[in-house]
Amino acid sequence: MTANDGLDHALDAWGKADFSALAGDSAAAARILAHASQLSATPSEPAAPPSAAASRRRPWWWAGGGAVAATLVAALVLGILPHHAPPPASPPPPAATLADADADDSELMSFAMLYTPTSEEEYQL
Amino acid sequence: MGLMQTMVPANDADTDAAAAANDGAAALSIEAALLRRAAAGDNAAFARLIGGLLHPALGVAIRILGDSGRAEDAVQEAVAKLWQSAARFDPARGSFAGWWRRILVNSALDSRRRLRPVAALDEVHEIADTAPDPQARAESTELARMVQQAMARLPDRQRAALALFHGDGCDMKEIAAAIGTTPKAVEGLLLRGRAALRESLAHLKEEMQ
Repeated sequence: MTANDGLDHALDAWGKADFSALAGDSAAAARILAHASQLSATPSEPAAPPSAAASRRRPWWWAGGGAVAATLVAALVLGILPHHAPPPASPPPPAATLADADADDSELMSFAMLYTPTSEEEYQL
Repeated sequence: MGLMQTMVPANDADTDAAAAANDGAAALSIEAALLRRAAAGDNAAFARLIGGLLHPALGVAIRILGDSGRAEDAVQEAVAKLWQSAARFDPARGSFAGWWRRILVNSALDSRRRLRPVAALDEVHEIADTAPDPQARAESTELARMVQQAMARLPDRQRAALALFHGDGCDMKEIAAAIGTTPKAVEGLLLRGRAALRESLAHLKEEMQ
């Protein structure tokens, strides 16, 4: 028998030895099965797309490029469209002011035209 | 092939599932059919699959790691990876056996890298042997114990290659796929591993010559 045969014999014995029969192995197996059972209560990761679909998968910059293109188009459209000028600001309505006590007749006349007495004031008058 | 020798025994439902998934293409193994069912949410199918994989996987992990506690951790991690990626398994890209072997060996090698370097094997006296004759069984067990001790001094990949070749009956291509290298590199790993073992076991000259 050569040294190689001897080594083969030793490795054969090593290969055939039942390592899973180590003490505590059944407990280890039970723990692993319990762990597997816990795992199977959680959803596994979704399936990868099939290979044909994978070849059509978009590159990472696809989404970003699309967003940039959309922004540029929007900017161009906004640049081309005529700007609607805001309507000219109308002058503010004149504030109603009470006539001064020492105002002249014309001012009193204009005050009288603006002033509408209440019914009580009319009665008192 | 050792890792799959005691795998899941088929029942009618499994066979039907495998046949249904076959679609006239390459045959889908019972394990792959169970994995497909597990990925679809069938917890019983996953438990059944793991029940069949467990003992051979522990044997491979102990051969690589030399420690039953760490082997248990590695198998547990491999089971978790199997569950997480169950839906991604594509039988068109390779067999379930090869896929599972790769997950398992990677988990064992990662476990070695994360933890302490090679440790002396304290549990080798508990190795059982399947030889029928008590005398032959005792001799064989003693030989296996010595080899396992000598294995502890080998680099990880050499030990993994030897474990898959002698313990699991894999060929070069299968080992290469499992440890992520080429069949030629596996030949080198096995040659160097055997040379180192021959040196380590020189004191067993009587048994080896």
